[in-house]
Amino acid sequence: MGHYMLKRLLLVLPTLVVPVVLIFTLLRLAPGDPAVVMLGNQATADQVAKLRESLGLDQPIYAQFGDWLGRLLHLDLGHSIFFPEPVLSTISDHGTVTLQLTLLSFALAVVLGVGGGMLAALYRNRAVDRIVMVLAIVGVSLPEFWFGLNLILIFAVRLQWFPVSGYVPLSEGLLPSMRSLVLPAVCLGMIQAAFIARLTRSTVLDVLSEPFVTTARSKGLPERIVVFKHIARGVLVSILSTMGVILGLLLSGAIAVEVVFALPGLGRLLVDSVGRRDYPVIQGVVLITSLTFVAVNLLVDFLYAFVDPRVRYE
Amino acid sequence: MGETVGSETTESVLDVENLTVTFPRRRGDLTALTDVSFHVRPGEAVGLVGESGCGKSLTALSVAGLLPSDCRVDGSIRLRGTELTALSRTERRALGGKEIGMVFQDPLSALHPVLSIGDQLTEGPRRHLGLSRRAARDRARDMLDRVGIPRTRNLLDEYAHQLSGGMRQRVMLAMALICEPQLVIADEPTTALDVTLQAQILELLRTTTMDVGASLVLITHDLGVVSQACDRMVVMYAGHVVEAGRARTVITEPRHHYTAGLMGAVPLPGERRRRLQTIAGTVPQLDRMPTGCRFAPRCGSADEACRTEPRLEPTDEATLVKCWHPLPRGRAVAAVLAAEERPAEGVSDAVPSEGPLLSVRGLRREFTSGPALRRKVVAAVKGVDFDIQPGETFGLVGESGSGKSTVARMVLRLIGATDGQITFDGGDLTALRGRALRRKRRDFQMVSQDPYGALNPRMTIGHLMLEPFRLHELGPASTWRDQSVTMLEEVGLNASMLRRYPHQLSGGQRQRVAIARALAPKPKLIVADEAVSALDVSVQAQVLNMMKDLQDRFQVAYLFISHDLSVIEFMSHQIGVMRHGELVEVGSPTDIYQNAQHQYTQELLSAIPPVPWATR
Repeated sequence: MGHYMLKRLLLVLPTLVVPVVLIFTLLRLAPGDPAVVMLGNQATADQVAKLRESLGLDQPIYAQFGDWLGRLLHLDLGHSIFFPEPVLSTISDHGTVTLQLTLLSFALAVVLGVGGGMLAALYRNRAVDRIVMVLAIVGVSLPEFWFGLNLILIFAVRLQWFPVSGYVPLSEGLLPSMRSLVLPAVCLGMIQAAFIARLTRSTVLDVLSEPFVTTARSKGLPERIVVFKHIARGVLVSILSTMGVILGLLLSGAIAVEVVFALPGLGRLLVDSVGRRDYPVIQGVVLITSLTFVAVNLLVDFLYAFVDPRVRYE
Repeated sequence: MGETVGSETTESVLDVENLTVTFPRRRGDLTALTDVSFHVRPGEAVGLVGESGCGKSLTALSVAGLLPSDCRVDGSIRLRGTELTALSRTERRALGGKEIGMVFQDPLSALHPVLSIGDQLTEGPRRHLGLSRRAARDRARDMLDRVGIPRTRNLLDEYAHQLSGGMRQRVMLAMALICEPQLVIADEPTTALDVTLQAQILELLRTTTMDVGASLVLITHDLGVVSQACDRMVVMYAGHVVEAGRARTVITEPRHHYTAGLMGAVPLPGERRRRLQTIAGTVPQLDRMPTGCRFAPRCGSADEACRTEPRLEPTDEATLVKCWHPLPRGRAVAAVLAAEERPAEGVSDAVPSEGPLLSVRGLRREFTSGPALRRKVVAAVKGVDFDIQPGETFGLVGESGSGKSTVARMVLRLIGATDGQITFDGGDLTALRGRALRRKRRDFQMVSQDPYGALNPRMTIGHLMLEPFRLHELGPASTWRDQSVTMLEEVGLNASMLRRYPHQLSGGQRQRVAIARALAPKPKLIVADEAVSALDVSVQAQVLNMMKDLQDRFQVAYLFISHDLSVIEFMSHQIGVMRHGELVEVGSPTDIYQNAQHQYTQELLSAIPPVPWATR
């Protein structure tokens, strides 16, 4: 058990290095220059060169990287080129929104997805199954931006149940804040729910044909216990590992959703920063999201050891 | 003993009468069981015997109320007089565990992988007997003790994967018995276990079941198991009961041709020169049931009368037989054994003039496991030496984990050897690499245990048969198809197979295709790893006979691996007994079976279920 965890922990560092190095070099190899963006078209070559120098962009890439890494050791992600604010605090401001959005849609996705998938499998080939699966197919194929716009049109513009867009911070109360996130969370979560439902259904069908399910039934246990204890535990083990991936998909889906719903989240920040070539912010966002993703998957691995004794005693 | 076989409602624990199970399908209903009747008295063990697809397990599931909800059950199932078919699904379900305990074939998959043993064992008593968690755990420890797991070995908090195979089956048995049911149904309880465990577990099943006062229904394909553990037996064929009676009577004097056929198909000790008796064809599929006597198409004695269905009727012996022409008394066993003698074997026992075809010296294979810093090295094969003469069979026998398959995979060069030499056909096999190795591969082929897994399900038999010809460029491409048909004919199939897919074939047919493919490049050696283990006994007999015939025709040598000692004896010229990665004894069948030197060999031999119908 200890070894299992240690092994997973040791894998974290190399997993983080790849996206960070990639984004650092790609940004600098891509056309466009923050100095040019900042100074506008009228700027002289001299002015640009001066600004580049003050931003440290005239250094070779490896020197810039070393500099950035050095500051990273002090938990300093640098300053935004455009705003007089440390990257870390920008990220933590925007991060709260994304975190709220992601968790809400994750909960929605898991509850609807696992529930729907189990129902579909247990009532295989009946009406419930057909309905859930048709919805799931539709859900998997919906693009977030289109689905989001339609949600806004129906629930915000026509029915006026929710705000059209924008975010109400937590400081103005939990309920109003949540209300502003309902539509985005539904938009993001439903699509993942569709994916989870399909996965759960096929996993449950696999587990249903396992001999241990017959054993449980032969012991005279009521179907409710067979389903919620024996089958569910078997299914959980199989779908847990995909939960980390789902969270990753939610993080990337958040980019589109935040733009559609004008939420000041990390996705929105990233899109804006790319447009401005705000290198420090982009790097910071990529680092933090990769870190989150890796941490979540690490957590899933640990949970795995917890629910599956076969892993524990490996 | 003058007992009767008719039904006795009051006395019986279980009464099954005219049980018919139908699966409704759009293209017409499939009737899987037809008029199945038998009964089980208190304290009695009844064996349900037959090949797969004959309805044994389905009968068990019907009794236990575990059939899928879409099938129709007609007839009557009474447990201690209670009509089970009249109960609602929920009421029916509640009897499980409490009145009827089940033991399944493979305890690893039948136990829950992530629930602890204690959790699984206590569910029953907590539910049915209303025990508290602590009382239920106490009872579980008691029960484990009774099935031979002492209280000191506290495994309630362990999981199925941590236990050995025998231990798992003991847990399964404890689970079936823990509420002291009236009836225990064991479905092939020893089939997945090693041979030395089988006898032990069977004995335990019998004694502990009787101990808690339950009756036993034992489902098995193995007549030896029935003769060892059962008072009475019921032989099933194609969803019918074809013969029923006292186990000893039926086994020594079978009256139905199917029962006799099953017995003739089992390789007997010291009978390796005989051909095994086979039953032509296979068990019919549900949608292609013959009318009249269902066994008639496979029966040598069928005639006009067999076009109408016979009734299950008592003979003078108090044995019930469903046949127009039952085998006469007293001649039955003789008829079974009056099998055709094989012609003197080709190369067989003659002393080989040339050197060995395959020579293995000091073959060793290690696997590493465990975490990086505390890596453990486990030797799966610890220095094995043996020779295989051209055209001969070397039988490798041993229990699971003994290293048989690892040897096979090294000989096939599918995995490398840690140490040792493999000399094949005069050359060093371990030295071959890349192209040279690939070219050499046509001389040594393999047949694996699971013919369904070994044949690509998306390819037709025609395409599958072309592969070896294309791979090894055997003659001009224009002849490949004809050559494939010839090979199929060699294994008793024909050109009509070419357009079919593996799933459309029976298990035996698939294994024939696998053998035809292996034979196509005319190899000098075929490695057959448990090649007949997944087959039913009548089909196994067909394949074994065929493999011997092919050996005589093509002078091919076999490295024949099996856990089944009687099959090994039947097939082999030389036998090697493996244990814990070592070859503990090598010798001719006579040496091994009549004069075993090593204690382990003796142990293995004594674990073979008795064959009461054998003459010696």
